[in-house]
Amino acid sequence: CGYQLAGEGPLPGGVNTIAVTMLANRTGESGVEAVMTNALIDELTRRRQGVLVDAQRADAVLSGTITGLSADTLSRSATLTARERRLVVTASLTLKDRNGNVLWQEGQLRAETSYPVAGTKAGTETNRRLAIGKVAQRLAEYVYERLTDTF
Amino acid sequence: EAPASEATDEPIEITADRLISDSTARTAEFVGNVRAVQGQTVIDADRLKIHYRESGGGQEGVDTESVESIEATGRVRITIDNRVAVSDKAVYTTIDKKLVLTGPESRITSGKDTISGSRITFFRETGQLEIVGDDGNQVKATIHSEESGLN
Amino acid sequence: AAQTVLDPMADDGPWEISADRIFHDQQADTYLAEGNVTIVRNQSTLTADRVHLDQKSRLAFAEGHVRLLQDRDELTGSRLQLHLDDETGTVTDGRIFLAANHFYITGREIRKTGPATYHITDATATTCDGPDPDWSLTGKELRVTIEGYGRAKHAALWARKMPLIYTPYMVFPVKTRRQTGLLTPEAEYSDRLGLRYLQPLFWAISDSTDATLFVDHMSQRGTRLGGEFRYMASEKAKGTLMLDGFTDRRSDTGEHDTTDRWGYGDDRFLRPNHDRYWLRGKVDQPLPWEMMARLDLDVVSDQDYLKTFDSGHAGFEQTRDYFRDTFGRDLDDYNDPVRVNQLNINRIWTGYTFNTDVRWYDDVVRRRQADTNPTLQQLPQVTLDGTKQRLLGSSLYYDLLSSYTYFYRETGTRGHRADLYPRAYYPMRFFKAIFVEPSAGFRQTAWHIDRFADNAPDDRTDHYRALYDLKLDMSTGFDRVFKIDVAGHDRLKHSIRPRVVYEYIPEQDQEDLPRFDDWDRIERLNRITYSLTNTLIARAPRLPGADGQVRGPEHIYTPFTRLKLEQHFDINRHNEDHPQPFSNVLAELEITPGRYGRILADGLWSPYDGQFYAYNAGVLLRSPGGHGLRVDYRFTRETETTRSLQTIDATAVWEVSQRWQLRGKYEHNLDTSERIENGVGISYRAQCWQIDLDLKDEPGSTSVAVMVHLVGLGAFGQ
Repeated sequence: CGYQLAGEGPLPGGVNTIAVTMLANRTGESGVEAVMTNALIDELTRRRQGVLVDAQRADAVLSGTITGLSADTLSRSATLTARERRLVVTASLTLKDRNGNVLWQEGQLRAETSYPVAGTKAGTETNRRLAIGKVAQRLAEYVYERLTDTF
Repeated sequence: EAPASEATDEPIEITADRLISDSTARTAEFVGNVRAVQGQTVIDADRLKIHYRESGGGQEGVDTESVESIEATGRVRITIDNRVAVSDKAVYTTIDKKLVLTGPESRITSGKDTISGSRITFFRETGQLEIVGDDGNQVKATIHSEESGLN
Repeated sequence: AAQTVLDPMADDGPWEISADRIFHDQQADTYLAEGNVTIVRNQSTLTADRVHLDQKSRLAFAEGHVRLLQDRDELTGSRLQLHLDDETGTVTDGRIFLAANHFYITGREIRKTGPATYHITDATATTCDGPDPDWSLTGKELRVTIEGYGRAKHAALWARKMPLIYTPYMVFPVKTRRQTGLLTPEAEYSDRLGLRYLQPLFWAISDSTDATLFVDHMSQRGTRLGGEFRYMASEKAKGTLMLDGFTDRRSDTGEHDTTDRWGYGDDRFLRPNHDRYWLRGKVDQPLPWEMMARLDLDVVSDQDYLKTFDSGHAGFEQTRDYFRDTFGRDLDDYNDPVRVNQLNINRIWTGYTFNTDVRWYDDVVRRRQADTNPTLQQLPQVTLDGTKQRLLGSSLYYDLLSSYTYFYRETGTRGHRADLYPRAYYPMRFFKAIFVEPSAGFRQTAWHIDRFADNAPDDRTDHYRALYDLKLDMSTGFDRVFKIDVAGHDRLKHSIRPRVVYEYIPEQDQEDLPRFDDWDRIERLNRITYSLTNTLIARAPRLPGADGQVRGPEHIYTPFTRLKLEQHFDINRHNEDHPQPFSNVLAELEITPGRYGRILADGLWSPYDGQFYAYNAGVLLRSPGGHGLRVDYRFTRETETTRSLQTIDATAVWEVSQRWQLRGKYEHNLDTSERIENGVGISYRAQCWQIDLDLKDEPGSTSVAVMVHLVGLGAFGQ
């Protein structure tokens, strides 16, 4: 029926191994850099054999910054009663080879999701952290596809 | 160096390939690699025509009282008070000690400063200089402020 | 930051002069150029009918249609006397045009006090083209500084011939872009605030610090004062602090109609206080050893303040947009009564990140109205997280999450918690495209209770928990590429990603453990999650640029559709004969054709009763002409654990013409069929000013706001 098993797809500049350095975090959400960087690494190691190596030996290094994280009221049942918030995370990533040339770059990465406002602040913070995890995975999936989608 | 005016009464030596003298027209025309020297002033040109007043003679040495005007044409190059002027044609009239250079790319240079225009008039008496452009191309000058200009 | 000013005339670059006639007097060492004179030197160009250059006195006199163009400043006049070395001088019938902010400045006498600085007496400044400007600023004395500010004495703002405001001293940005919201008055009428007039004033203290003060008079409530102080030592070391407040003549004590008129009924809290204020700020400060400190302050007097002052100058929305743009950091939403104040110190290495957070949740209602405050604070929380990396070069990977927190409560239990959570992963690949990754984690958590709440069940101070978890992540993918010819795209790839994830966490009794936050209770888990992700990507050959060159990779890929379906199967429920071991099916749809549109929708569908338990849709449309439409529809069905919700929120912008813009907002609670907020706005944009008129209708408050922006003087958050 024409569908084949998806291979790993070529990486930009024909590199084979990539190192992912901890992203810089410009947002106020402490620790989101670990969540986002881990999501990127997870996507790579889960969908590509032996691609992840440490920075000294890698053909190319993926680095970048989480440029923004914001939560606005998405729905409210009355003037001051928020029920859902929209979480938007923006980032910019660059893949550079050993001597610094840019193989791939995306400055306007963006992903959003919604999360419910709970009865307590602690409850809403938990929903927010789960939403951040979900958005991080979504961004990582998008980045992996952009890196390998030459067809 | 001595101001221009004293230098005018020294004798003028002229060398050239050929000399055509016409006593009736009271002219003497030097042709081919002409060089006329008077004190510090040197005139080089392809042709140099001297017009005498009534009493003038045609010998090599030319005393200045008898000269009415000198007309140099063809790649004229005049060094005067460490300024260098180049033009197609130059006419020096002794009565008013005025030197007029004409031709599209007439130019006078002193050190790094240059002025070019279609008609340069140099008043040896006062050391003043007037450069006029014609319609189409204006006078152009490049002057460096720290030196005291075209002295 | 100030322009770095090159002093074009003073250094010894040559003057290139062209003129109809040049006259040089050797003794006097002067030049006289006449007729269409142009003198060019580095970035400066002087044109005039006549220019007299005097080398000895180092002066230049220009006469007749004088125009001095320097960088982007243009000085014109009938006569100009310029000192050649330091480039000072005076111009008569002068006028300055500063292209940076499109400012025209005229004056009785204009003195050029340096390469980019001016001093003007009886000055008039405006950004309006043409002879009689719609607005202008006048000043007895106006100084244009090197940093690009205008400092005026005895200044006044005029609308055509009518004086609006007088102020003995004033600063405004003539060339610098940094300052906003200056001098643009705002007027509003609403039944809650009465007639309101807000007047901002701006003061640049030094090149890297400036302050804005504002007066906000509200006929019904009183006069609010506000201030904002900014400093920017460098791109990384900067800070902004904002404080405004007033004594509110009204309060919401709950008697007769005070809640409807001065409070908000839906948050179940009164607002009895008259002292009302909001302090907020953000600071970035680099520390040695590549560490970075970030401070966020957010202390408000009551839970209504941010809603009352949400729009307008220094309101909640403008403050939040400013913080997001300048610091990348957000504010808790205006309707969140518990606001985070935190100091974060962060250091990152290639594979690790270290964070220390002193975090204080300021629960405004409890602080003002309750005597007990059990809000949980983290003073501090220290975390060291390591990202997934190879273990000694083998094909085994590990990552580590570790944290120490001291939990503090004014009233209630206080204690320490240390948590260590390493995980190991073993990714494998079969048949080139089937990826299987088993992983296991072992979490150890220890608590030490400092102080017990008075009704604590037992008084053991130390607790320990060790818990392992297992995970198996299997995924593969199928692709197919179709030839197409649609809107310049020649290939379409459809890819399907099935994925199955099994997660297991054993049952463990954690009843007697302290309970500070949700990580202190880890539920048992025995679940299979399976999902299918479809994506459609279109490929278009990159068109050659204007010069026929093809820049960049030769194809442009546009992912424009993504559909994900996901469901869980709970094995524990199945083993305990629970009637519904299958979860609802989650469907997520994203359609992102390009810059001009985006549709995000999701739904929760129950396989047992075939009903949707939630469906939401968000549509964002933008036209090249600037028109925009955003609609969000949210629906959640009522269940034991979820409250029903059905709302719609639509905002639209219509660029009627180059001059007129129309705006609309419609937000409705479809459950209770009550309006939440309706609004309509219209803007008229003249060449050098703009006026916005906004009507807003909310339950218990309708308002009409007028805002004037003077182009060149900027507008807050515009």
